Amino acid sequence: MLPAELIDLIFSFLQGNTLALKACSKAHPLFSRLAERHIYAHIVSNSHVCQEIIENPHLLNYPRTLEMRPRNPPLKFIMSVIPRMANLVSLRIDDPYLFGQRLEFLSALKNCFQQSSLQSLYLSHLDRLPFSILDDAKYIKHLTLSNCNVDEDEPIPSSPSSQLSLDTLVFSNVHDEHLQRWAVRWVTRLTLLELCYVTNDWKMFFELLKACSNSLTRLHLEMHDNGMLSLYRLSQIYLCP
Amino acid sequence: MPIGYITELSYILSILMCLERLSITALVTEGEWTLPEIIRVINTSPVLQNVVLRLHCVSDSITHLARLDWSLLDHLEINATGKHPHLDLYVTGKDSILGSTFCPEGNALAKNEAIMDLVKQGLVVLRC
Repeated sequence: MLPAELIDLIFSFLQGNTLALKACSKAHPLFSRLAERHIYAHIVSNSHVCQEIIENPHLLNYPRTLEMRPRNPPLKFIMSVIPRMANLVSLRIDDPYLFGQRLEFLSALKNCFQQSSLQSLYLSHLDRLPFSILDDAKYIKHLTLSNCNVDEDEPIPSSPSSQLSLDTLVFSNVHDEHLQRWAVRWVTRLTLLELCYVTNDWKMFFELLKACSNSLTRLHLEMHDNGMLSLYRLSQIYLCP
Repeated sequence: MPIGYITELSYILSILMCLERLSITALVTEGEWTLPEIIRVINTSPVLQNVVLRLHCVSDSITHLARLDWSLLDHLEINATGKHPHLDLYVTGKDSILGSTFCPEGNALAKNEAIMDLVKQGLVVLRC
């Protein structure tokens, strides 16, 4: 029998191939425990995964990345267990709530920010997002905001400064000038900024760039969002990996 | 957005004192952009080392692209790093979308003597 460390290393190469890992896990009781860590390293929230977690709470130790697809049915459950995912590094949330769930979702999201392992956050299709909750996200280093807009009624505090201090910021399909004013508070140590399909007026980002002018080393600009470019990008992902 | 609007970036790049890498992905449509503007923008950046241009050609824009005076890239100035910024130029077209290994857009640019001179000098890397 190979040492457990070697088996674990071999399984790590199968990460992403859930079928193979599940087959391995059935070969020996020891394999089952070792494979679990890799089977649940990246999870997409759905009813099936939630049921598995309810039945086997120890699985909460395994996810490193969690993805929540649009209008995710088990939203309430999965948001409530995120603070117990001790090794979660990356959280992706896309169009999360149905009508009436907004406040509940935002409160749960705020709780997630207490998690020291959570470094990367991707938020997509969030309407009237109160950005003050991001001010408390002191562990987040990589933030992506796609198709989000700000709750304009929320005043931007002048002090104290935000606890959120980013390495990487990505704006995609964001056309909200308010959002930029919030972001100025988070970027004094920013090294990478990506602006994708944002606006025709780059001057709108002048204040943001000024705020990170002494730290920014990489800037990516993606222009012209139309069907053609989207198709091109898909082809890069799927045809030319 | 037409890449011609890139001139606005010269306001921005000049204030980014540590910027080492600039990458731009854009669609190229006929007559909407000019090389001197890009060069001017790059020259405003104090310590830029790498520029990545990913250009996707639609319709006949490759013809326009191939006719440009690429020798103008010789005008990239040595900046505070003591070097010229290095340019990675990716060109794709409609055939690339379908995953074809043959890229006529890249081929058209490879016939351009000025750009191949720059490739030989190591200032430009052409990919498709």
